[in-house]
Amino acid sequence: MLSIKGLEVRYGAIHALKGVDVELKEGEIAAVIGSNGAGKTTLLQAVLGLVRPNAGVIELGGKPITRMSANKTSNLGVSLVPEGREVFGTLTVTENLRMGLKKKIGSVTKRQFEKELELVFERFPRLHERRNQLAFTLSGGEQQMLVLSRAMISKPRLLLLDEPSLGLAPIIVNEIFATINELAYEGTAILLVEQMAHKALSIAKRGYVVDNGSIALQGSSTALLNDDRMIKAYLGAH
Amino acid sequence: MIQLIERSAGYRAAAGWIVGLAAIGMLAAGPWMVDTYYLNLLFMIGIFVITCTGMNILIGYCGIVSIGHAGLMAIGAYMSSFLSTKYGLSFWSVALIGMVVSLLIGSLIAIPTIRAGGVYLSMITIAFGVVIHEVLIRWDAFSGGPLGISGIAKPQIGSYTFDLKGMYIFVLVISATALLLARNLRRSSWGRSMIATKENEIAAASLGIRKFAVQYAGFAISSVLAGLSGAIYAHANSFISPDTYNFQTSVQLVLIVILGGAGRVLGPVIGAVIIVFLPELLDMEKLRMALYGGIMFAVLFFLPKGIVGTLDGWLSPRLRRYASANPRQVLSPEEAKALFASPVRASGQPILMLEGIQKHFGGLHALKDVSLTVEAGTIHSLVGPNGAGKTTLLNVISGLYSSDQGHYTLRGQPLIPRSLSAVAELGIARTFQHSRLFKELTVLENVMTGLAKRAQSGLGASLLRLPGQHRSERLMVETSHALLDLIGYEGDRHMPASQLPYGHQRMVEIARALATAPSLLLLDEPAAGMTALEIEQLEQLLRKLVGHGLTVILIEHHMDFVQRVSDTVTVLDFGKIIGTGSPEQMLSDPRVIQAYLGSEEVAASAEH
Repeated sequence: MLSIKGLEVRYGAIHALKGVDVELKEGEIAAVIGSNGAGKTTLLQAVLGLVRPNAGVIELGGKPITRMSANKTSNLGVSLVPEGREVFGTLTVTENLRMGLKKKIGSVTKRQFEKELELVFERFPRLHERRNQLAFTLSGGEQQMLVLSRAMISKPRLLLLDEPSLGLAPIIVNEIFATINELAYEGTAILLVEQMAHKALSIAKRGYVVDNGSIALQGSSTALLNDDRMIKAYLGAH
Repeated sequence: MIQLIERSAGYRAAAGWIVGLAAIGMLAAGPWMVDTYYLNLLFMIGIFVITCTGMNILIGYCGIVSIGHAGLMAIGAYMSSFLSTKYGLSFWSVALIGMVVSLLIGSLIAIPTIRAGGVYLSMITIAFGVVIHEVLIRWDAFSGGPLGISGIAKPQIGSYTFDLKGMYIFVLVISATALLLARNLRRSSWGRSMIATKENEIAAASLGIRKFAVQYAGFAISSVLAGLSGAIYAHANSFISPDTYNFQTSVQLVLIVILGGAGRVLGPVIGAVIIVFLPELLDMEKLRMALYGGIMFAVLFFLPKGIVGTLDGWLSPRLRRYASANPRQVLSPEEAKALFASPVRASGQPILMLEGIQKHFGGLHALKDVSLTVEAGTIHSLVGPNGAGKTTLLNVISGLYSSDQGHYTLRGQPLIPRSLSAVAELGIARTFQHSRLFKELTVLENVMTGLAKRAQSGLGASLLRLPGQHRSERLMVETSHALLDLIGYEGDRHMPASQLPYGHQRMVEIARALATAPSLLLLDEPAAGMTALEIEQLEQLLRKLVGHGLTVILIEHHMDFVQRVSDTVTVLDFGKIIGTGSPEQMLSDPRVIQAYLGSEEVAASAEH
C-alpha cells in the first residue's frame, strides 16, 4: 500500500529526515516512535505532500506520489489527522463531520451521511450529546474525537495519525485505540505516530523508531516490545 | 567554548557597527557627490525613515497597523510652522512643541485604538487621519486653509542657516538615531513584551505583561517621531498644505514598513528607498497611487515578510550553522535557589483555598460548587474525563475567566482574580494546554519575556540602552540560560520558537512560567506529547521545584506519572469534585475507575 524509500527532507540547514524507509500493507498499522524533534511529524507531512522531499520515493499502491501536493494525495485517499486538534471552531460538530465527506468525489446523499453520523455517534456518544455545539466549545478530548471521526468519514485508504492520544483521559485513549484497530480491520492502512509507545505497539504490526532523522530501530511489534533499548528509551518503567 | 562564542558574537557586533558607520559616512558625503534633484530625494527618504521607524515599532513590534500617521506628521508640521511664522520662535523650540503636541494627540487616539483591537483599530486610525486633513482644510486661522502655510523659516544655529545640504545631514543624523533606538528597543524587555503581546495576548498577560502599557509605549514613540519628521519637513520645504498629509501619505507610510519588512530594524530604509526612487525611475508621477497599489499587492502575495524579512529568513539558518551553540554554565545550588524569589513556605499549610466556585458558560454549568485546598510545597493533581472542567478551573484560578460565585484565599489573604496579569503578579504562573509560545521570538527570548516584570526597566533606558540596562539584560540572559538548564532543554536556544517540536515547546513554556518567580505553578497537561524519557525528566523537575518551595497544580492524563508524582489527587467529573485524597486512594476508587480510567487500565496497572 505505502512504500517509502530513502526519504530525505531538509529545512534550510536542518536535515530533518536522512534516508527513511517504511513499508505498510493494506489493513496494517505501523507505529512510528521517537523523541521530540526526531522527524516523525515531518515524515507524515512528506507523505501527505505538505513538505517536499529532497530525495527518495514515496509510492501509494504502486504509484509514485513523491512530490504530489496535499490536495492531490488526499484525492487519492490519504488523510492526515494532525497533532493539536484542528477543528473548524465556528462550525457545529455535525458540520465539522460533514466536512469530512466534502472531499469525496461525487455527491453524497443525506441518508448516507446520516448513516455515517450514526456510526460515529455510536462510537463516541459524547459527540452525539454535543452535535449542535460549536466545535471550539468542546473540551480538548472531545475535539480529538471529532478530528478522528472526521478523518474516518472520509474513508481514507491511508490514514496518517499524529499523536491521537494527546491530552486524552485513559478511558478515551482506550476507545481511540480500539477505533484505530477497527479501522485497520476494515482495510485502512495506518501510519501511527505516538508517544504512548506501549499502547501503539500493542495494536501495530510493525514499529519504526526514528532518531535524529533516521530509522534507528525497526521490527515486529512483539520484538520491539521486548527490546532492551526500546524499554530503556521509550517504553519506560511500563 | 563560551569565550569563543562570545568573542565571535563580539566580532559580529563590531562588524555591524563598522558597516553601519561606514554607510552613514558614505551617505554624509552625498551632498558633495550628487546634484540637488537627487539630494532632495535622499532628504525625502530620510524623512520617511524617521516616521516609518516609529511606525515599524507600532506595526512590526506591536502589531497595530495605523493608517492615519500622516495626521500625526501634520500635527508636528503645522504646530511648528504656525508658531514659527506667527511668533517668530526658533525651529528648535517649535519642533519640540510639535513633538509634544503630536505625542498628546497620539495618546488621545491610542486609547480607543488599543481598546478596540482587531479590524476596528485600523478603522479608528483612518478616521483620525481623515479628520485631521479636513480640519486643516477648514481651520483657516491656524492652517491657512487649502493654501497652507508658506515662507516657513529655515532652522538656524547662530549665523548659519540650514540649506538643503545642512538639512540633509541633520535628517541623516536623526534617522540613524531613530534606527538605533528601534534596534535597542527590540533588544530590551519592552521590545520583547511588545512582540509577545502581539503574538499571544493571553500568554503575555499570564506573565504579568500589561497589554495597554506596552502598546501605548509603541504608539507614543511613533507619535513623537511622526511629529518630529513633520516639523523637519515643513521647515526644510518652507511650504506645507493639507494635501501633503492626506490619506495617500498614510498609506504610503504603511507600505514602506510592510515592503521593507515589518519588525525588521532596517526595513523602513529599504522600503523608503524603493518607494521614493521607483516612481522617479519609472517616470510614473501620475500613476503613483496605482504603482503603490501594485507594489502592496505584490509584496503581500510574494514577500509577506517584506524584503529584509525574506532575506533574513533565507540567510539566518545558513549563518547559524557556524555560530550556534549554547553557552552553558552549571548553576551552584545557591544560584539555583536565587532563581526563585519566592520565600520557601512551610509545607503543610494551605497556599490556595477555593470555596464554592461556580462557573456557567451560557447554559453549560462548567463548575459546580468547587471547593479545594492546596497545601504549600506539594504537587496537587487534577484528573478527570475530558470536558470535566479541569482546564476551566485552572482558567478561573489564573484569572483568565472570572467565576460567577465563590471565594478564594491565597496565602491566607482573600484574592480576587481580576485579570491574568494581576494574578501573575501575585506569584501564580501557568502553562497552557496548547502551547502558547511567542513564535517570532527565540527560545531564549521567550524565557526572557517571563523576566520582564522582574526587570522593571524604564522605556527611556531601554531605548538608549544605558549601561545599567546592559547589565540587567545580561543578567536576564544568564538567568534564562540557567532556567533552560534547570528544565533540561538541550536544543538550540537561538532558534525561533516556531521551529520547536511539540514536546520541547511545552518544556520551554515551563521555563518561561518559572521565570516569573512564582510560588504557585499551574501546569495544564505538561506531559502530553512527551516521550517516556522526557516524562521522567519532567518528574525530576517537578520534584526539584517542590524542593525549592514551589507548589504545583497539575492537570495530567498519564496516570502512572500522576501516581508517582502527586501528593494529593482531586478527581473532577461533570464540573463537580467527586473526591480528593492520596493517589492510591483516588485511583482505586470505583467511581473514578468507571468514569475515567476504564477497567482495562486498572487491569494493566495491577500488573506492576
